[in-house]
Amino acid sequence: MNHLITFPFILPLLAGALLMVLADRPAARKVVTAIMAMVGLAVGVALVMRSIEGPVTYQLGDWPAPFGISMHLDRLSATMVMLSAVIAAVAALPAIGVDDVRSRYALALAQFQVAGINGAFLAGDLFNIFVCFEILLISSYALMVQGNGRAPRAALVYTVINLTGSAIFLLGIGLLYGATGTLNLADLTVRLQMMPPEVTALGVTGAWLVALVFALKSAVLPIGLWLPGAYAIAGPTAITLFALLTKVGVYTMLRVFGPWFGGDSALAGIGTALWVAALVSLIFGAVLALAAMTLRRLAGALVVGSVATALLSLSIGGTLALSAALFYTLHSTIAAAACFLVASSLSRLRGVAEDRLDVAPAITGRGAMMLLFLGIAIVVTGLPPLSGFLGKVSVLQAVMPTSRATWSVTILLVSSLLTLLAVARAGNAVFLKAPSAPATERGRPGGAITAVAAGVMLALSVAMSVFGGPLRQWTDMAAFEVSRLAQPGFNTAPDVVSPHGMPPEHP
Amino acid sequence: MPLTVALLIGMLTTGGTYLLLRADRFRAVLGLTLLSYAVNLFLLTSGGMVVGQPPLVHNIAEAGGAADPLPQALVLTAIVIGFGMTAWLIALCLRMVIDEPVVAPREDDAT
Repeated sequence: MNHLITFPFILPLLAGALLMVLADRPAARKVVTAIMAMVGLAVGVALVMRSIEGPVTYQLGDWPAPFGISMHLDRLSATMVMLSAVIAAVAALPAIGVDDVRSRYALALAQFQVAGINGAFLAGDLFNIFVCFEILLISSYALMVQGNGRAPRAALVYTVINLTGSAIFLLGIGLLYGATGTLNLADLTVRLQMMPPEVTALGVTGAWLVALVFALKSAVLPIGLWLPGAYAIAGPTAITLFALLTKVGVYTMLRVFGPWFGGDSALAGIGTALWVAALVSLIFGAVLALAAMTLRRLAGALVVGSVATALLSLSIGGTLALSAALFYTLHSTIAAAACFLVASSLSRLRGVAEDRLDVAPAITGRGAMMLLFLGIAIVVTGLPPLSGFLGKVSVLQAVMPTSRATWSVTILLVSSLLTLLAVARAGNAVFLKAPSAPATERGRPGGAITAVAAGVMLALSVAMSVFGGPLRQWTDMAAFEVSRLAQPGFNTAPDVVSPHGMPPEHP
Repeated sequence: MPLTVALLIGMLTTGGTYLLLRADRFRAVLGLTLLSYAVNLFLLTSGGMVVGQPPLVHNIAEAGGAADPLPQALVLTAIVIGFGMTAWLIALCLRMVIDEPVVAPREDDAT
């Protein structure tokens, strides 16, 4: 059943189109979304099972390799698709409960965004990653302003930044194609190390440009300043899915450049630059978290720091570090989604105080919300025993044996401490300083269902900790599959494309 | 021919970048449009500059050469995506203009 690989991309597209048609049928929209959440999970599990048997390459429409569009499934992409299915299923809760009430196209946009995200995870070549980026971005632009009533300035900044990123991405794609004659990801990884000397400069420039765009998507400094502002204006569904958006940047960086980092190739410099950027982002994210005046700003700052931790591990290179980066990415997505959901839920329950860190009347279900907040705080700050701790230990283990250990470990630990302070301060302001008198005014609707979604995320993090061993073995194998492409002499498809992109001559 | 195209790409990129950095929303739209023209031209040349040759031929020896079809396909896709994105950006800018209070303080006009 090879066509299964197209399902995570095509089914949400179809469901999205159907949801647009159902604009006047709220009940039917909810049913379609619920079914898609279940189908997505089932397809994700099926793809993970399939990826155990080895990598699969699928040619859309059965066109031969250099001309057709190829999709690629291995352990890494199956893991990411599974992650996206889980996040999409949990995001369906606030989508049905909150966003659908505010805007009748929110559910459709969420499906389009999931299609773009899954497409990027499964794309077999660089240009299709670009196309999928655009699909997920245009739905994220729309989803961000949906139901807001007005278009905030942060939405324009987000759009312009990402469109500029797309232009740079295309320049990089052009340069890489000119230099290597291929855009296929596996081929590209192999060919980048055996470019003829006269085009090496072109190829390396192209690689730097593409890496710059991936870094922009994963919101690493100095080009990540768009994230906290943009995430602070989005609704609960949008931000839950946005937890995945930065991970698309991390995934593509891992897939395309990960095998090169830590070595002595011409592209290892990208790894060094990424390492510095990740360290700066860690500090910046922690300071931003301390300075945050609202819960959603705090969550945005935590995402910056958390993605930077994954990128720090990724930039070290080698199977161990890539595996730790993947493990941390899984944790970081769940933690980010949990943070956004709990912030969104509290903002709704607290009424006019929204998510500002001020004293406000006590909310309904204060005890349960406090426990939820505490659990998520443990996850996101990386305290034992939950997945954040395991993730940080994996990253530290990967960093320790390298020459970059001193700086990495120091900054990672300092930023963890600052993050802990920031989260404790927020919890104190929201819960402990609140007068115990019951609220006189009622909060906005949708707080409870968003809190349930946050609870599911917390449960997932607990599950990640319980099954940490097997999961780590899995990420080790996924990282090995990716990094062996950089082994000297490894060649995926020698006869696929002739040099300089000319079509192969017919015999 | 290569010089003309190179100059054109350079001019479009310069103009696009200048407009984009003006921090004015409609200039930013124009800037992004110019930038995407530059990028499309650049992509077209990425398979090598071949002039007056068809992209699809039956027998490459008989036809005496062919243009690389892949960059052409890429540019076509990029044009369509760029068009959609520009439409969205203009809609967003118009929406922001509508949302603004009619009498705005002078300093805020340019942002």
